Amino acid sequence: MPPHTADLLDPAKLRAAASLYDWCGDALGDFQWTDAARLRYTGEYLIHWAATHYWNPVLAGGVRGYSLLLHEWSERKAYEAAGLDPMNLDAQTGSYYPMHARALLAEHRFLQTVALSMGSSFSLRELVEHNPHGDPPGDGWDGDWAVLSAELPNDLSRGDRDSDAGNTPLVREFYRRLGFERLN
Amino acid sequence: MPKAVSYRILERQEEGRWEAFAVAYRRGDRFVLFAPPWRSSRDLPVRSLEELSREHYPAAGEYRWSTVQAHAGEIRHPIEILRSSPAAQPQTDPHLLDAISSVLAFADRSGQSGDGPEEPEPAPDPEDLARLAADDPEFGAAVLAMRAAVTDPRMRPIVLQALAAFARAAHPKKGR
Repeated sequence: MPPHTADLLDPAKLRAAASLYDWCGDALGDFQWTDAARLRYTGEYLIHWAATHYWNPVLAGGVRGYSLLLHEWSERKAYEAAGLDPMNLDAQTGSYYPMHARALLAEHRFLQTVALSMGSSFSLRELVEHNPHGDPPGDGWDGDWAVLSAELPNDLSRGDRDSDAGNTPLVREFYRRLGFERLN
Repeated sequence: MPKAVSYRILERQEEGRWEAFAVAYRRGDRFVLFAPPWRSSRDLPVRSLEELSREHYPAAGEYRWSTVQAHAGEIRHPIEILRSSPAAQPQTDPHLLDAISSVLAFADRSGQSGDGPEEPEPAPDPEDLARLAADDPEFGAAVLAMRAAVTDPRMRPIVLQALAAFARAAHPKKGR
Protein backbone atom coordinates (compact mmCIF):
# COMPACT_ATOMS: atom_id res chain seq x y z
CA MET A 1 0.00 0.00 0.00
CA PRO A 2 1.44 3.42 -0.86
CA PRO A 3 2.73 5.14 2.31
CA HIS A 4 0.82 8.35 1.61
CA THR A 5 -2.45 6.43 1.86
CA ALA A 6 -1.66 4.49 5.04
CA ASP A 7 -3.26 7.12 7.29
CA LEU A 8 -6.56 6.63 5.48
CA LEU A 9 -6.85 3.33 7.33
CA ASP A 10 -5.83 4.70 10.72
CA PRO A 11 -7.48 2.46 13.37
CA ALA A 12 -8.88 5.42 15.33
CA LYS A 13 -10.43 6.80 12.16
CA LEU A 14 -11.97 3.41 11.37
CA ARG A 15 -13.40 3.06 14.89
CA ALA A 16 -14.91 6.55 14.66
CA ALA A 17 -16.45 5.74 11.30
CA ALA A 18 -17.80 2.42 12.55
CA SER A 19 -19.56 4.22 15.40
CA LEU A 20 -21.49 6.21 12.79
CA TYR A 21 -23.02 2.95 11.63
CA ASP A 22 -24.13 1.81 15.09
CA TRP A 23 -27.82 1.61 15.84
CA CYS A 24 -27.87 2.42 19.52
CA GLY A 25 -30.41 2.25 22.28
CA ASP A 26 -32.06 -1.07 21.66
CA ALA A 27 -32.84 -3.04 24.83
CA LEU A 28 -31.18 -6.11 23.34
CA GLY A 29 -27.97 -4.26 22.67
CA ASP A 30 -26.59 -2.11 19.95
CA PHE A 31 -26.80 -3.21 16.34
CA GLN A 32 -23.85 -2.49 14.06
CA TRP A 33 -24.39 -2.02 10.35
CA THR A 34 -20.67 -2.52 9.97
CA ASP A 35 -17.51 -2.55 12.05
CA ALA A 36 -13.93 -1.34 11.84
CA ALA A 37 -12.68 -4.61 10.36
CA ARG A 38 -15.19 -4.49 7.53
CA LEU A 39 -14.39 -0.85 6.90
CA ARG A 40 -10.70 -1.67 6.72
CA TYR A 41 -11.37 -4.57 4.34
CA THR A 42 -13.23 -2.19 2.03
CA GLY A 43 -10.80 0.69 2.44
CA GLU A 44 -7.86 -1.49 1.43
CA TYR A 45 -9.66 -2.36 -1.78
CA LEU A 46 -10.45 1.27 -2.62
CA ILE A 47 -6.98 2.51 -1.84
CA HIS A 48 -5.34 -0.25 -3.87
CA TRP A 49 -7.34 0.88 -6.89
CA ALA A 50 -6.74 4.63 -6.50
CA ALA A 51 -10.40 5.15 -5.60
CA THR A 52 -10.02 7.16 -2.40
CA HIS A 53 -12.68 9.62 -3.63
CA TYR A 54 -15.22 6.97 -2.54
CA TRP A 55 -13.56 6.46 0.83
CA ASN A 56 -14.34 9.79 2.51
CA PRO A 57 -18.12 9.45 1.97
CA VAL A 58 -17.90 5.96 3.49
CA LEU A 59 -16.14 7.36 6.55
CA ALA A 60 -18.84 10.03 6.85
CA GLY A 61 -21.52 7.41 7.59
CA GLY A 62 -25.21 7.62 6.71
CA VAL A 63 -27.19 6.04 3.90
CA ARG A 64 -24.86 7.43 1.27
CA GLY A 65 -21.75 6.07 2.94
CA TYR A 66 -23.33 2.73 3.62
CA SER A 67 -24.53 2.32 0.05
CA LEU A 68 -20.99 2.89 -1.21
CA LEU A 69 -19.58 0.58 1.44
CA LEU A 70 -22.04 -2.14 0.45
CA HIS A 71 -21.10 -1.81 -3.21
CA GLU A 72 -17.36 -2.07 -2.64
CA TRP A 73 -17.53 -4.67 0.12
CA SER A 74 -19.85 -6.86 -1.97
CA GLU A 75 -17.61 -6.52 -5.00
CA ARG A 76 -14.46 -7.55 -3.18
CA LYS A 77 -16.33 -10.46 -1.58
CA ALA A 78 -17.68 -11.57 -4.97
CA TYR A 79 -14.18 -11.79 -6.43
CA GLU A 80 -13.00 -13.85 -3.50
CA ALA A 81 -16.05 -16.12 -3.62
CA ALA A 82 -15.22 -16.80 -7.27
CA GLY A 83 -11.64 -17.70 -6.39
CA LEU A 84 -10.27 -14.54 -8.01
CA ASP A 85 -7.86 -12.00 -6.59
CA PRO A 86 -9.76 -8.68 -6.29
CA MET A 87 -6.46 -6.81 -6.29
CA ASN A 88 -5.41 -8.26 -9.65
CA LEU A 89 -6.02 -6.17 -12.75
CA ASP A 90 -6.47 -9.14 -15.09
CA ALA A 91 -9.18 -10.48 -12.78
CA GLN A 92 -10.86 -7.06 -12.71
CA THR A 93 -10.79 -6.67 -16.47
CA GLY A 94 -11.88 -10.23 -17.17
CA SER A 95 -14.70 -10.42 -14.61
CA TYR A 96 -15.92 -6.84 -14.57
CA TYR A 97 -19.51 -7.53 -15.65
CA PRO A 98 -20.56 -10.18 -13.10
CA MET A 99 -18.71 -8.60 -10.18
CA HIS A 100 -19.97 -5.09 -10.84
CA ALA A 101 -23.49 -6.51 -11.22
CA ARG A 102 -23.31 -8.25 -7.84
CA ALA A 103 -22.21 -5.01 -6.20
CA LEU A 104 -24.94 -2.98 -7.92
CA LEU A 105 -27.59 -5.43 -6.76
CA ALA A 106 -26.53 -5.29 -3.10
CA GLU A 107 -26.22 -1.50 -3.15
CA HIS A 108 -29.61 -0.85 -4.72
CA ARG A 109 -31.58 -3.45 -2.75
CA PHE A 110 -30.45 -1.48 0.30
CA LEU A 111 -31.45 1.82 -1.29
CA GLN A 112 -34.81 0.37 -2.27
CA THR A 113 -35.45 -0.52 1.38
CA VAL A 114 -34.44 2.95 2.49
CA ALA A 115 -36.77 4.51 -0.08
CA LEU A 116 -39.67 2.36 1.13
CA SER A 117 -39.00 3.41 4.72
CA MET A 118 -39.22 7.01 3.48
CA GLY A 119 -42.55 6.34 1.83
CA SER A 120 -41.36 5.98 -1.77
CA SER A 121 -41.61 2.91 -3.95
CA PHE A 122 -39.05 2.91 -6.74
CA SER A 123 -38.05 0.07 -9.00
CA LEU A 124 -34.51 -1.21 -8.90
CA ARG A 125 -33.97 0.08 -12.42
CA GLU A 126 -35.07 3.60 -11.50
CA LEU A 127 -32.73 3.61 -8.52
CA VAL A 128 -29.78 2.32 -10.56
CA GLU A 129 -30.29 4.64 -13.51
CA HIS A 130 -30.62 7.80 -11.43
CA ASN A 131 -28.00 7.11 -8.78
CA PRO A 132 -25.55 10.03 -9.05
CA HIS A 133 -22.73 7.67 -8.07
CA GLY A 134 -23.20 5.55 -11.18
CA ASP A 135 -22.85 5.66 -14.93
CA PRO A 136 -26.16 6.37 -16.66
CA PRO A 137 -26.68 5.17 -20.23
CA GLY A 138 -26.14 7.75 -22.91
CA ASP A 139 -25.07 8.37 -26.49
CA GLY A 140 -25.15 4.67 -27.26
CA TRP A 141 -23.12 3.64 -24.25
CA ASP A 142 -24.51 1.13 -21.80
CA GLY A 143 -25.03 2.24 -18.23
CA ASP A 144 -25.03 0.28 -14.99
CA TRP A 145 -28.55 -1.05 -15.48
CA ALA A 146 -27.60 -2.81 -18.72
CA VAL A 147 -24.78 -4.57 -16.87
CA LEU A 148 -26.98 -5.62 -13.96
CA SER A 149 -29.97 -6.77 -16.03
CA ALA A 150 -27.79 -8.76 -18.44
CA GLU A 151 -25.69 -10.44 -15.76
CA LEU A 152 -28.25 -11.29 -13.10
CA PRO A 153 -31.59 -11.76 -14.87
CA ASN A 154 -32.71 -14.44 -12.42
CA ASP A 155 -32.24 -12.09 -9.47
CA LEU A 156 -34.63 -9.52 -10.92
CA SER A 157 -38.41 -9.46 -10.94
CA ARG A 158 -40.59 -7.85 -13.56
CA GLY A 159 -41.19 -5.00 -11.14
CA ASP A 160 -37.44 -4.49 -10.76
CA ARG A 161 -37.28 -3.77 -14.51
CA ASP A 162 -40.05 -1.19 -14.57
CA SER A 163 -39.20 2.36 -15.39
CA ASP A 164 -41.71 5.17 -15.12
CA ALA A 165 -40.55 8.49 -16.50
CA GLY A 166 -42.93 10.17 -14.09
CA ASN A 167 -40.86 8.88 -11.21
CA THR A 168 -37.63 10.48 -12.43
CA PRO A 169 -37.96 13.74 -10.46
CA LEU A 170 -39.01 11.77 -7.38
CA VAL A 171 -36.00 9.47 -7.54
CA ARG A 172 -33.69 12.42 -8.05
CA GLU A 173 -35.25 14.14 -5.07
CA PHE A 174 -34.79 10.99 -2.98
CA TYR A 175 -31.07 10.98 -3.75
CA ARG A 176 -30.77 14.73 -3.22
CA ARG A 177 -32.35 14.52 0.23
CA LEU A 178 -29.82 11.86 1.21
CA GLY A 179 -26.90 13.99 0.04
CA PHE A 180 -25.98 11.88 -2.97
CA GLU A 181 -23.93 13.67 -5.59
CA ARG A 182 -21.58 12.57 -8.32
CA LEU A 183 -18.13 11.62 -7.07
CA ASN A 184 -15.12 12.55 -9.09
CA MET B 1 -23.92 2.16 -30.35
CA PRO B 2 -20.68 4.15 -30.70
CA LYS B 3 -18.42 3.31 -33.62
CA ALA B 4 -14.77 4.16 -34.30
CA VAL B 5 -14.17 5.29 -30.73
CA SER B 6 -10.99 7.23 -30.05
CA TYR B 7 -9.37 6.52 -26.73
CA ARG B 8 -6.18 6.53 -24.66
CA ILE B 9 -5.19 3.76 -22.32
CA LEU B 10 -3.85 4.68 -18.88
CA GLU B 11 -1.26 2.10 -17.90
CA ARG B 12 -0.24 1.45 -14.32
CA GLN B 13 2.94 -0.24 -13.18
CA GLU B 14 2.26 -3.33 -11.09
CA GLU B 15 5.26 -5.21 -9.72
CA GLY B 16 7.50 -3.86 -12.46
CA ARG B 17 5.09 -4.49 -15.31
CA TRP B 18 2.95 -1.98 -17.19
CA GLU B 19 -0.68 -3.00 -17.37
CA ALA B 20 -3.77 -1.42 -18.94
CA PHE B 21 -5.56 0.10 -15.94
CA ALA B 22 -8.12 2.51 -17.37
CA VAL B 23 -9.39 3.98 -20.61
CA ALA B 24 -10.12 7.62 -21.39
CA TYR B 25 -12.79 8.24 -24.03
CA ARG B 26 -15.57 10.62 -25.00
CA ARG B 27 -18.99 9.95 -23.52
CA GLY B 28 -21.53 12.42 -24.84
CA ASP B 29 -20.18 15.90 -24.25
CA ARG B 30 -17.62 14.79 -21.64
CA PHE B 31 -14.29 13.01 -21.60
CA VAL B 32 -14.23 10.35 -18.90
CA LEU B 33 -11.83 7.81 -17.46
CA PHE B 34 -13.12 4.30 -16.85
CA ALA B 35 -11.31 1.74 -14.67
CA PRO B 36 -12.94 -1.64 -13.93
CA PRO B 37 -12.57 -1.46 -10.13
CA TRP B 38 -14.25 1.95 -9.89
CA ARG B 39 -17.91 2.47 -9.02
CA SER B 40 -18.24 4.72 -12.09
CA SER B 41 -16.26 6.72 -14.62
CA ARG B 42 -14.50 9.91 -13.59
CA ASP B 43 -14.87 13.14 -15.55
CA LEU B 44 -11.70 14.44 -17.14
CA PRO B 45 -11.32 18.23 -17.35
CA VAL B 46 -10.02 18.24 -20.92
CA ARG B 47 -11.36 19.19 -24.33
CA SER B 48 -9.44 16.52 -26.22
CA LEU B 49 -7.63 13.26 -25.52
CA GLU B 50 -4.38 14.89 -26.60
CA GLU B 51 -4.54 17.19 -23.57
CA LEU B 52 -4.20 14.30 -21.12
CA SER B 53 -1.02 14.40 -19.10
CA ARG B 54 0.36 13.35 -15.73
CA GLU B 55 -1.92 15.96 -14.15
CA HIS B 56 -4.79 13.58 -14.89
CA TYR B 57 -3.34 10.52 -13.23
CA PRO B 58 -5.85 9.29 -10.63
CA ALA B 59 -3.31 9.08 -7.80
CA ALA B 60 0.36 9.25 -6.99
CA GLY B 61 2.23 6.29 -8.40
CA GLU B 62 3.52 4.94 -11.66
CA TYR B 63 1.18 5.68 -14.54
CA ARG B 64 1.58 6.54 -18.22
CA TRP B 65 -0.75 7.40 -21.11
CA SER B 66 -0.76 5.54 -24.39
CA THR B 67 -1.03 7.47 -27.63
CA VAL B 68 -4.50 8.17 -29.01
CA GLN B 69 -5.88 5.00 -30.56
CA ALA B 70 -9.11 4.06 -32.30
CA HIS B 71 -11.45 1.14 -31.79
CA ALA B 72 -12.91 0.28 -35.19
CA GLY B 73 -15.84 -1.98 -34.26
CA GLU B 74 -19.12 -1.30 -32.56
CA ILE B 75 -18.92 -1.16 -28.82
CA ARG B 76 -21.35 -0.62 -25.96
CA HIS B 77 -19.13 -0.56 -22.88
CA PRO B 78 -15.59 0.76 -22.28
CA ILE B 79 -14.49 -2.51 -20.67
CA GLU B 80 -14.45 -3.92 -24.20
CA ILE B 81 -11.78 -1.40 -25.17
CA LEU B 82 -9.59 -2.47 -22.28
CA ARG B 83 -10.08 -6.13 -23.11
CA SER B 84 -9.10 -5.68 -26.74
CA SER B 85 -6.36 -3.13 -26.28
CA PRO B 86 -2.83 -4.22 -27.15
CA ALA B 87 -1.80 -2.45 -23.95
CA ALA B 88 -3.76 -5.07 -22.02
CA GLN B 89 -1.52 -7.76 -23.39
CA PRO B 90 1.76 -8.67 -21.67
CA GLN B 91 4.18 -5.83 -22.08
CA THR B 92 7.85 -5.96 -22.93
CA ASP B 93 10.20 -3.35 -21.64
CA PRO B 94 11.84 -1.64 -24.65
CA HIS B 95 15.13 -1.36 -22.75
CA LEU B 96 15.21 -5.07 -22.08
CA LEU B 97 14.21 -5.84 -25.64
CA ASP B 98 16.99 -3.64 -26.92
CA ALA B 99 19.49 -5.33 -24.60
CA ILE B 100 18.40 -8.78 -25.71
CA SER B 101 18.61 -7.84 -29.37
CA SER B 102 22.19 -6.64 -28.82
CA VAL B 103 23.12 -9.88 -27.10
CA LEU B 104 21.48 -12.01 -29.77
CA ALA B 105 23.24 -10.09 -32.53
CA PHE B 106 26.53 -10.60 -30.73
CA ALA B 107 25.86 -14.31 -30.35
CA ASP B 108 25.02 -14.58 -34.03
CA ARG B 109 28.36 -13.05 -35.00
CA SER B 110 30.11 -15.32 -32.53
CA GLY B 111 28.52 -18.38 -34.07
CA GLN B 112 29.80 -17.40 -37.51
CA SER B 113 33.36 -17.24 -36.19
CA GLY B 114 33.16 -20.74 -34.75
CA ASP B 115 33.21 -19.69 -31.10
CA GLY B 116 29.72 -20.91 -30.29
CA PRO B 117 28.60 -24.00 -28.37
CA GLU B 118 29.21 -27.33 -30.10
CA GLU B 119 25.45 -27.99 -30.31
CA PRO B 120 23.78 -24.63 -30.86
CA GLU B 121 20.70 -23.97 -28.81
CA PRO B 122 17.51 -22.98 -30.63
CA ALA B 123 17.46 -19.24 -31.21
CA PRO B 124 15.23 -17.67 -28.55
CA ASP B 125 12.63 -15.14 -29.49
CA PRO B 126 13.62 -11.68 -28.19
CA GLU B 127 10.05 -10.95 -27.08
CA ASP B 128 9.93 -14.20 -25.09
CA LEU B 129 13.19 -13.36 -23.39
CA ALA B 130 12.09 -9.80 -22.66
CA ARG B 131 8.93 -11.08 -20.95
CA LEU B 132 10.97 -13.54 -18.92
CA ALA B 133 13.32 -10.77 -17.91
CA ALA B 134 10.40 -8.52 -16.97
CA ASP B 135 8.95 -11.25 -14.75
CA ASP B 136 12.23 -11.88 -12.95
CA PRO B 137 14.19 -8.80 -11.80
CA GLU B 138 17.41 -10.82 -11.39
CA PHE B 139 17.08 -12.15 -14.88
CA GLY B 140 16.46 -8.60 -16.11
CA ALA B 141 19.58 -7.37 -14.36
CA ALA B 142 21.58 -10.19 -15.94
CA VAL B 143 20.37 -9.20 -19.39
CA LEU B 144 21.43 -5.62 -18.88
CA ALA B 145 24.84 -6.78 -17.60
CA MET B 146 25.22 -8.96 -20.66
CA ARG B 147 24.60 -6.04 -22.94
CA ALA B 148 27.48 -4.25 -21.28
CA ALA B 149 29.66 -7.34 -21.74
CA VAL B 150 29.08 -7.99 -25.42
CA THR B 151 31.58 -5.40 -26.53
CA ASP B 152 34.41 -7.34 -24.88
CA PRO B 153 35.50 -10.44 -26.87
CA ARG B 154 36.79 -12.06 -23.68
CA MET B 155 33.20 -12.25 -22.41
CA ARG B 156 32.08 -14.26 -25.41
CA PRO B 157 32.02 -17.73 -23.74
CA ILE B 158 30.11 -16.43 -20.73
CA VAL B 159 27.58 -14.62 -22.88
CA LEU B 160 27.02 -17.70 -25.01
CA GLN B 161 26.50 -19.89 -21.95
CA ALA B 162 24.03 -17.41 -20.51
CA LEU B 163 22.23 -17.18 -23.82
CA ALA B 164 21.88 -20.95 -23.92
CA ALA B 165 20.31 -20.82 -20.43
CA PHE B 166 17.96 -18.07 -21.61
CA ALA B 167 16.91 -20.21 -24.55
CA ARG B 168 16.14 -23.15 -22.27
CA ALA B 169 14.11 -20.87 -20.00
CA ALA B 170 12.17 -19.46 -22.93
CA HIS B 171 11.57 -22.85 -24.55
CA PRO B 172 12.05 -25.45 -21.81
CA LYS B 173 10.83 -28.39 -23.91
CA LYS B 174 13.07 -27.60 -26.82
CA GLY B 175 16.11 -26.89 -24.69
CA ARG B 176 16.10 -30.20 -22.84
